[in-house]
Amino acid sequence: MDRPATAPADSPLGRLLLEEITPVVMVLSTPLAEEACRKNGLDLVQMLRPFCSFQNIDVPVRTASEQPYRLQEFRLRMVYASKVRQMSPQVAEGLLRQVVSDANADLQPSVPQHEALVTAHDTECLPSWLQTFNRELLHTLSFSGHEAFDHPVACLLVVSTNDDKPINRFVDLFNTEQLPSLLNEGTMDPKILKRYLLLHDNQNGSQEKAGHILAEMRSTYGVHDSRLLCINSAQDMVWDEANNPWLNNKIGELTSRDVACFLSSDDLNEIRDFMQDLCSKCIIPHMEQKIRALNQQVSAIRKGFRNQIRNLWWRKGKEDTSDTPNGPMYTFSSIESQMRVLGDYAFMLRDYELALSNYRLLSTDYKLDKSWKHYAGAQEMVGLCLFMLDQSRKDSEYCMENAFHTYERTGSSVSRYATRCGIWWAEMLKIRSQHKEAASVYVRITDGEPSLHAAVILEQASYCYSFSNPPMLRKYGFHLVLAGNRYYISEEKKHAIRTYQSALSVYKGNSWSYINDHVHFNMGRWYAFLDMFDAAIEHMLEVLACSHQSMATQELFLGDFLRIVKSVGKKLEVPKLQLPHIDMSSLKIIFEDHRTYASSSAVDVGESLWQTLEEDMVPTTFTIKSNWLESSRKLRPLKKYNDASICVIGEPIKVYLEFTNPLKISLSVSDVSLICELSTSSAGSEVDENASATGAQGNVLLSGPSDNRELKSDDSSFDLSKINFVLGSAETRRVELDVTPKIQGFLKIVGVRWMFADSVVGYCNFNTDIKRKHGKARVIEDSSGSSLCFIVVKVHVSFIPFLPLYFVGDHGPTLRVYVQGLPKLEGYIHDLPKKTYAGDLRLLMLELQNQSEYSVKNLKMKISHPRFLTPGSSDNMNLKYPGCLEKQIDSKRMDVKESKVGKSSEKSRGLLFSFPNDIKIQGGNTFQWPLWLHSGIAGNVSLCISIYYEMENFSSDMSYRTLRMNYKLEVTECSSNFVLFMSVIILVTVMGIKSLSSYVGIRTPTAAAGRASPAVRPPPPLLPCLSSHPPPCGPAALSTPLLPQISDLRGSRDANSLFRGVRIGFRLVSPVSGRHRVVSVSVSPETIKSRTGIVFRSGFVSPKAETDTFRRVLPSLDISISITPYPSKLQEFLVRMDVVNKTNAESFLLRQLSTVAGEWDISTLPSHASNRPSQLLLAGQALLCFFKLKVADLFKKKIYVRINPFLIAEGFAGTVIFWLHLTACCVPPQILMCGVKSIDMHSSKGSDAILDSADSSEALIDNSRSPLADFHHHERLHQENFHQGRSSTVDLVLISQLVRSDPGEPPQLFSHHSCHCRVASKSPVWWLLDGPHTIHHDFASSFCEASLVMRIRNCAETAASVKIVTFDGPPLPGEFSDRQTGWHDVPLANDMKVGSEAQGTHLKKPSSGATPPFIWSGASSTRVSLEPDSTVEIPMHVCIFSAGIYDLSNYEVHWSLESSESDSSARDLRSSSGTSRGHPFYLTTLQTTR
Amino acid sequence: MTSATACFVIVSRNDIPIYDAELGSSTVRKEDAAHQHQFILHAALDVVQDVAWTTSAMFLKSVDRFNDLVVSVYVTAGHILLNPICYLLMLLHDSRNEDGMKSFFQEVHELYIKILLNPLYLPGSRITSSHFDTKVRALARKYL
Repeated sequence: MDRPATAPADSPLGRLLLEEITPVVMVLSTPLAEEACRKNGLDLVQMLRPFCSFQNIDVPVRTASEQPYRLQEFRLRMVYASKVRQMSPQVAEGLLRQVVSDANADLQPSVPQHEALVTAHDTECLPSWLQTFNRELLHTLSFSGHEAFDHPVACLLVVSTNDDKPINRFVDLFNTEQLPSLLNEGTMDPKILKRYLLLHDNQNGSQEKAGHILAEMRSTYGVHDSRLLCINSAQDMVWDEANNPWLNNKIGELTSRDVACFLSSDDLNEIRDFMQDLCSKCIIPHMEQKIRALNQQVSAIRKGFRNQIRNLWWRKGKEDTSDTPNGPMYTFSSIESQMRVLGDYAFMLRDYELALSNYRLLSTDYKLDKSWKHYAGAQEMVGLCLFMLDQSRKDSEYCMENAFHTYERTGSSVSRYATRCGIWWAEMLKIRSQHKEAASVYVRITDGEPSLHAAVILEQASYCYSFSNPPMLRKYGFHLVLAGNRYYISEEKKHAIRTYQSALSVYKGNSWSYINDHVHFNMGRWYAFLDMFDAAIEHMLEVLACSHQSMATQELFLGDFLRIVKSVGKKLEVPKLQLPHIDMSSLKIIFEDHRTYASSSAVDVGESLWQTLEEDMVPTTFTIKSNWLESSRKLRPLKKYNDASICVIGEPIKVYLEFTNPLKISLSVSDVSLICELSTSSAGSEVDENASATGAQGNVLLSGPSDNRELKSDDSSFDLSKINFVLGSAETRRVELDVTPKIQGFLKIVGVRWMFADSVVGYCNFNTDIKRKHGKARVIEDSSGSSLCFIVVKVHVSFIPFLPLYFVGDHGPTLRVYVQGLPKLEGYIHDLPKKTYAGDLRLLMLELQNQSEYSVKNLKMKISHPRFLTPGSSDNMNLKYPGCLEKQIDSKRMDVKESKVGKSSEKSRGLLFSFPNDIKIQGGNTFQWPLWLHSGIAGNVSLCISIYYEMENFSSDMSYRTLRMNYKLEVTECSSNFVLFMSVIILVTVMGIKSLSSYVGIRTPTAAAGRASPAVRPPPPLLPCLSSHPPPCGPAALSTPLLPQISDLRGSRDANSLFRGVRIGFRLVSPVSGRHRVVSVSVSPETIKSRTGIVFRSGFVSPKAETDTFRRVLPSLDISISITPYPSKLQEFLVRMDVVNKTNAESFLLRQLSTVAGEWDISTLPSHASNRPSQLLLAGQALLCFFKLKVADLFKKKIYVRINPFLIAEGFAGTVIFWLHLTACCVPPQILMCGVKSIDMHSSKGSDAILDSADSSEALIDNSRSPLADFHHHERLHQENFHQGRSSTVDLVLISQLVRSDPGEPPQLFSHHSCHCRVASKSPVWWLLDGPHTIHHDFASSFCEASLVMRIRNCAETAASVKIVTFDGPPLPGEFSDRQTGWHDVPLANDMKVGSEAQGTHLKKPSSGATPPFIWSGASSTRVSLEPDSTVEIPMHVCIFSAGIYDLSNYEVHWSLESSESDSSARDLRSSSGTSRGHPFYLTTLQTTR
Repeated sequence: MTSATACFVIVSRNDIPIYDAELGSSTVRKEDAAHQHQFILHAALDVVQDVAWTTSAMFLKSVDRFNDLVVSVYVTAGHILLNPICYLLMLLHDSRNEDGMKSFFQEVHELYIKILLNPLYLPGSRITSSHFDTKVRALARKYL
């Protein structure tokens, strides 16, 4: 902002200097003279003062230079002699304080916004009182000893004509003691110019007397020095304000109209003439004269080269004497004082050149004298002279700075002069648009000043910052705050608030939290001091939610706030109270129309999910309508409110809100309730008006105190719930608020209100955009009401058949239409377990309560996950669990039930369950219905149950309602636990002592649940063909990267070890850390004998803490089933079932394994059956069980296998392996259906096939009835996804039982369903090599020939041709281990050798390259062709040359199907030809002992 | 070695402080000093805005002072008004350890760049990472 350069004299500083640095006229007056003046309300000086400034005197002045110039305007300072001295600090302070407090500290209005400040001209914005203050500050510093411009130039002696002996009085006046110290102490010349004024009061004495005295005076003091002044010549002169010079000049607070009431205009002119004469004819010539005289003197002494040199020398000698703190004392006669007087007079007469040269000379002298105060004063004047001359800016600033520094340095006694100098300096900088520098000068001034001065000066500094270019608003704000602080310290609160208010415009909206807190808090406090509580509270509210502050500060803020509130005296209502904070996004409104909810979790389930669930249950007529209202004729007029939701009288609308305490101190919140408006709906149009009226009213209410609203809630049209709670530090609480309407009408939820700390009521409107709403509402009123009104309040509601359930965020209040009271069912499920294991089968009870007076009928139910939950039948209610599951002896009853079950299961496939038609729930009654829970698989399931019911009397507005229930079943993250589970299962199977072979297998349980089959190398004699079909998941499971790797497995193969036990050692390597650990295990002989493996655990489980309230389904038994063709019989299968107990603390009793659907016979292997003690499987054990399944007999379709109870111990993490024999048959599908019928016929006999029925007291579980059949159906459906397109599968159901610690508890049954198990064989051609396993022969005499038979069966539907190719030589070693990793394969040859040694017969081990120990005899290849479904036997021979155990698997079977039919290839996805290696067949030949 | 007063602020555009920490060793009246420090730092922004135009240096030593408290600034990412993700690292201190301050600024700058590179961090939003906070405090102990 470069302003046009102005002459220095016109600038503010120039004006200041011209007005302030002027000759002083000392006034001495007699009391009577004063009295005459006082009649006018003025003292003498005041009376004369308006005439001290002369605008157009046009006086020629001739100073040192001979060139005269003219002064156009001039000014004198009239001062009483008594005041020609420096003010005491107290007086000065009081004077300045008066200035400050006189300044109008308007608080609210006209606070200059900083934007305005930037654009406006600086002087326009500056409050004028700041200039006044500066002047007063300068006045307090006048009459100092080291400067001369305050020294009186002349003395005016005033004597009244009424005085006794007036001529003598003049002499007396001057000679009394009251002369100022300046004259007495020799600082200035006591020979002062005197003027004598005779004051005549025209009301008091005649003119003649005055004239007489004047003549006498003239003769005594000289004609020119004596004057007569007549005043008070008028009577009751009335001055209009404009012309009254005293009022214009603002002399103190003289504003009354009595001022100058006796002064006529003639008097005025007389005074003016007198003053002008005094000035132009007396003072100015006197000064001219003095300047000339002094100049000559100074020139003679100080100017010229000679004088300079002499001065230098002379000065040096004077240094020693300068011991006073302010440097040497200069008397008026000293050359320095005279130079100073010369300079000051010249300055006052505006001969700045002369003044400057003298000041410069002077300052060097003072500097040499180290008279710093004087030096600084001289420098100061040099700076001012340079400024007035408009010369080098730099020099002038330098001089000012120099002076300032010198003053500052000199000591605290002169620091005030630094202030004066600073003010001049700053003014100078401001004129030159260096506002920034000016501001810093101001800031520097403040250090030494008392706080009030500092405050004013800081405020000026802040303005300087805002005027600088570019505006430094942050500095502006900061310095305003600093100023405000100082104002506050010096008890000027209004000013403090004013400055803070201005500063706030800078800080508004910024995120410097501590700054904002400080400003608002202090303003709040200060307003409170001034009893302006509204403003105080407004500011305090800003700082309440100060989460970043420390606890002590928060307490302080809160305490102050509450104190202010208390001093207000009444309950305060605050629209936007921040304590506690309300999270608007958490707003959730739950209401029930025809959809009712059993729990809040049911509400959280998405509406679309419920809709799909209820799709075919709810009558379609209602779903098509966009709203309920349209179907109801009664409420048809209200259909314009189709944006509104519907609620029922007497049923609460729940609103959820989150309250958060941002502070570290706890808050008590009480009476939290909703603000609602309910208008009755007698007629449609009226309703409309009401609604819009309430809408508008709401807006009004929000701004003002809302007693009205209180009334509304009292008028008992609805009930509001009230909640009290205490929020701890930083706590968030979700609060449920209810409103229960009691009459029909429109309800609008406006907001929420709460009482904070028992004194403050907070409101919060749910609709954030009040203004817009208000505007729209008015528009609607103008357009005579339309349905748009509700679009205003509920903008976002879309026209879907069902309205959204709840509204989140600031979507506005909801408006609702009520219909009459309706019955409502409430439902629970009893005994739903908190924690279950997968497979748990339970009977639960659904309880429905009808609380209303009306009865409901036609109940239907739909369940989202029938796999987990199915409705039971009414019979289940009376039966005891698990007895109802057991097979019933009473076949007749079963038939009845079967038909029912069939029907219900048919329905449950459609997922809709209808309660019997005759069921009605009367009002107030409770109804129970059994439900079956089967937690099929571990996982996370949200069970949704929807119950539909109709009203008994259809005349109601709603004909039906639905009850929605939701339960969550959750499983912990057990899979991750399971990976951590460093458990290693070593399965040692040692075959019969005679074979002397030991097999060691290692299996690691894997995270891949369920399907992991053990990579068990089976004992060859029993299961020869198993090894040729590797289990599908074995290797994959082992390669799971997080499992520990096993290396260096070794087991002792010493024959003796069989009696001591086998010792197995191996190394476990952690895949993560790479650390390894050697583990060794002993296997006892007993274990080996029982042919069970050893499972041990070397890891640990970290069970996940069960924390939450979710119902959980934990994994329990992990079952995997693999079916392989049975080696010894065609069309029979071996079923291997692995059961892994994945629980951490539970044991299971395996009860029963059964097939479903009837075409399979399952039975245990006879060999195993005999060898089944009821074992307690310790951690780390496995059990081998064998079951076989045969072709199902038509008359014995349904076979159950009972597994003899054994325990899977607590903490068990092993595998139980069952070997099951399955007899396979490809039953055509049509037989399956009739088989179901026959099952029932013979099911009572089915137990025939159960093994060990004598051992067990447990009854069999019937899996062909509900609920097991239903669950099985769903399991089957579920598992189907993984096994699509497979035919000839078998479903197995394992029933187990939880072992309880308390035997008195009812048993808890578990069922595990494995569906779609199929034979793990790809070939349609099956064969079996059969023959003797042991041959005794004397090899000494001849070689041995063994006859074998190979049975080949073609299972395909087409003819096949099979070729058998035999090779000589043993099978290639290592091939087995390739197929099944993890096995340590012990070659048979070695075992044979060991075995031979045990027998004491030394046999030479045949080398692999030599002649094979046996050869096939006969043709090397045989080809046969097989009809579909036929069996052929081929005799085979083998010649054996030495004793040993031989694997006769070195043959291959090549088969090819004749694809005669075109469709067969399409249907049968298997390959039409293939080659299979031979199955292992071990033949032991022993040397006969002679 | 730690200076008695050290208040560190990262200021993003529009004068929004996105991180502030009192790093000084003086424990007395930290609460009271907090607003004073903020005032001084905030006011210093005016000066920084001036100075940043006149120099290409990143480290602006003692751009502003209030009594015996000095504000030093590290201007990054071009100049404050030009770059959309520009920010200022401001330190209010009473020590004269210039080298330490410079190192401190550079390392904090690196830390902040890491924060900026986090795709989940919205530039200009408040830094709430406790990791960042501990790192900054450790750096303050080391250098200031």
